[in-house]
Amino acid sequence: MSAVCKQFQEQIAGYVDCELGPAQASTISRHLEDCAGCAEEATAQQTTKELVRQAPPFVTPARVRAEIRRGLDREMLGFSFRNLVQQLFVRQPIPALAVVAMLMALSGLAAYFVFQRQAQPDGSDTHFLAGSIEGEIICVDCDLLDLVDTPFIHDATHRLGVRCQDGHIWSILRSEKSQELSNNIHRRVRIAGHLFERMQYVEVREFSFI
Amino acid sequence: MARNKFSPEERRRKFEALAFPHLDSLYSTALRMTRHPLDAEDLVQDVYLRAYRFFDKFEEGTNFKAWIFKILTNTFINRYRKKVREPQQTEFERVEYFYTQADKERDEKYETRYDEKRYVDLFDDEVNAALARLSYDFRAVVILCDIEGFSYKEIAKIIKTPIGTVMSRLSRARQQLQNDLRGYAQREGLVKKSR
Repeated sequence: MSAVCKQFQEQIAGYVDCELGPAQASTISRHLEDCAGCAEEATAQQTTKELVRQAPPFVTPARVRAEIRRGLDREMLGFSFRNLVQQLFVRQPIPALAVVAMLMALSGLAAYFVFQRQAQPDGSDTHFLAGSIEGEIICVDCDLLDLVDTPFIHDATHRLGVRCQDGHIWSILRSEKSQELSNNIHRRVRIAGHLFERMQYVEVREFSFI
Repeated sequence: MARNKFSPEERRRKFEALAFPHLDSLYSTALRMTRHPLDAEDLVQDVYLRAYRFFDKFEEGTNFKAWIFKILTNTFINRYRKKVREPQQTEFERVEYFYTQADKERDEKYETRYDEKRYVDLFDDEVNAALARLSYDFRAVVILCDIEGFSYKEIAKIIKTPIGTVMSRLSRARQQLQNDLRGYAQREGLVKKSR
């Protein structure tokens, strides 16, 4: 195999496809006149090219076209929305920014309320919150019996409570800590502990007189 | 705003008018490249969406078919051959050496993803079946040149390869096909039996 034959191996395609420069093409044409092997190669390459050219085509399934159209519809929606927003910011930057700021504030507010609601009692009797209340220490039994004009004598079985500014009376659950309050009826106190909201009971953890 | 000189509807109309005539070519090429109908459908859909997204980058008056075929080959390579790296194409000879060694192994590795039988069944004609047996790099140039009729210059751009490489790949790919299809060509009376 000559050097030209070897070079031709790389260039057969270019020769067959008429993609060689005029100088290269004429060099090869001259070579093919002398070299039967290479001439045969060129013919075979030409035949193969023809065979491939006639390879049966495939038919695109109809759903592909439909699927593409749907994809373009979605893309278009996205595009026109982006476009609109872009235009807004270019033409009316200050109002657009104001709207964005407002939306952010609103969503912050919404998040706050959702959070608040989650912190609210869920309605079951066992629900309680850690919190604090302020008010006057009273004897609940004496207070209520007095209200309905029933004769009574204060004793140790009476339950203590806290009358808050808003009129609510919280009964104090008996515990070691709450015992310390029993000699301080009518003093104002601030109690921190667990609040059983539906029962209006409070469990005393800490207290301080005001 | 020069970029959005068309309304979305105009843009869509223009795109469809340019792109849909090539659907069969793109689908056939996608099928010959992926060798699986579902992969081909996905690939073609992906190509249309990408082309639409980047439609602003298409320069009017240039060859749309070459442009969208470039997207096709890029998408195909990104999607199906992400793991395998292209060799650095510095010197022509070296690239060719790389091709015959490393790339062949690489292609064979990739090919194992596919059940041989699957695409032989799929391509029930001998020419398409023989094409499917070529390595990707060979297959791509043959499809682009002989079936889709692109010039070497266009192919070089589409597959981001020097023209010289396109030519030598084509030469070898056709030789390989020629061997593969010898029996078929003889039966069809296209070549003489004595060779």
